[in-house]
Amino acid sequence: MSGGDGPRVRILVALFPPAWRVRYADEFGALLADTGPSGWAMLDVLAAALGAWLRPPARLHDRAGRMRATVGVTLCAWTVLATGAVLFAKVTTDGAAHGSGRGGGWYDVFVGGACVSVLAISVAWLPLVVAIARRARQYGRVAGLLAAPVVLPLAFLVTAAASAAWAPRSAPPGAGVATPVFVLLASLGVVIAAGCGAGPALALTRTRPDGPVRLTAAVAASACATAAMAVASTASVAYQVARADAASAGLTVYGLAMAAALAVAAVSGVRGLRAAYLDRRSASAG
Amino acid sequence: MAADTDSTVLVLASLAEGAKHGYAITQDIAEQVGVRLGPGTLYGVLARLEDDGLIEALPAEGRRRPYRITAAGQRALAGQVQQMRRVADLGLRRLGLAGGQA
Repeated sequence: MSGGDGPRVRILVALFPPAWRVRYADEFGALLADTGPSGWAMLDVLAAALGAWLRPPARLHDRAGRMRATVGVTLCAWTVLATGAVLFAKVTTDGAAHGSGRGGGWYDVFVGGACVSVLAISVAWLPLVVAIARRARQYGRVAGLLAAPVVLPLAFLVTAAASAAWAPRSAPPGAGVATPVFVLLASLGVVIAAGCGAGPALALTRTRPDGPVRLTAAVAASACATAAMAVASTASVAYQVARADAASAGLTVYGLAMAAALAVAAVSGVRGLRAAYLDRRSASAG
Repeated sequence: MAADTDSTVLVLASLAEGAKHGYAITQDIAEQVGVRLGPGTLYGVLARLEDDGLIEALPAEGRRRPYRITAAGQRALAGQVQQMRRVADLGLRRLGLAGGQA
């Protein structure tokens, strides 16, 4: 791309996948600048960009890169979902009997789905963590990124414990911290969760540990973790709906946030699985 | 916008004359056939033809990169246009327009 290209040309070129841009951005930007991006041409470019995402040219399809991106994106989305699950469990178990009465079955499904999901994400990441750790010396700072899922939750637990000791309490004795403090802690928890996912994802992108079998297994396990978390999230919403007479605003926000995170993980998962399938097919053909 | 197969034939036919960059291809097709090929459509076709080994990219000239048809591309184009000619001949015969009749 040239600095002389107008913003419209730069935006249109930016619509294409990264690998496509590396190969064609300069000449395509020059063509757009020569022809002038009219309304008709913009629609044509939009359709072509969509096609390039859905069916990237085989030569430009960095399948290993796509699988790494899927494993990283899935982990980030998964940590958001897991944080939602923890918040849900915390809110529903505070002062309430669960697992019995109305919607008790849904709670069991939620717990089962969450456990399977944790198992699947561990299967996806443990071999990758070992591979990344082996390369840690070569890439510096990677060890810090890998340690994020351990260090950040510990820091959060210390903060939560300090808040429980020092923060103002809510009105009935023994009901926990005041609502604003709880909301603050919950928000901090989401940020911490994002950091927990982003750390290993960045380490994976930097070190690029290949090994098609390991990456394919990680993509498949990540997809399983997402599917199990989808079941858990749906069950958690169903549990709340079964127990409450009407859906609350909080439940709606929770449901929408879970749906958004699941959509991101699902789209990335499908693209990763497709790359894994094409990789296996070309390997067996070769 | 031309249909997908038509676009492929149009680009190959344009490059059969000699190497051209993207803008020259669209201009050539517009002048010779009267079809406006959108920039996205053009690069979708170029990427696919390059994937299939029917054209090859030459060294860039500034920001423009010319493309050249390969031997496989010439064979593919010949096959396509011969089939199109057979279809055109059949249509003309059936319509009673063959042999220069108006």
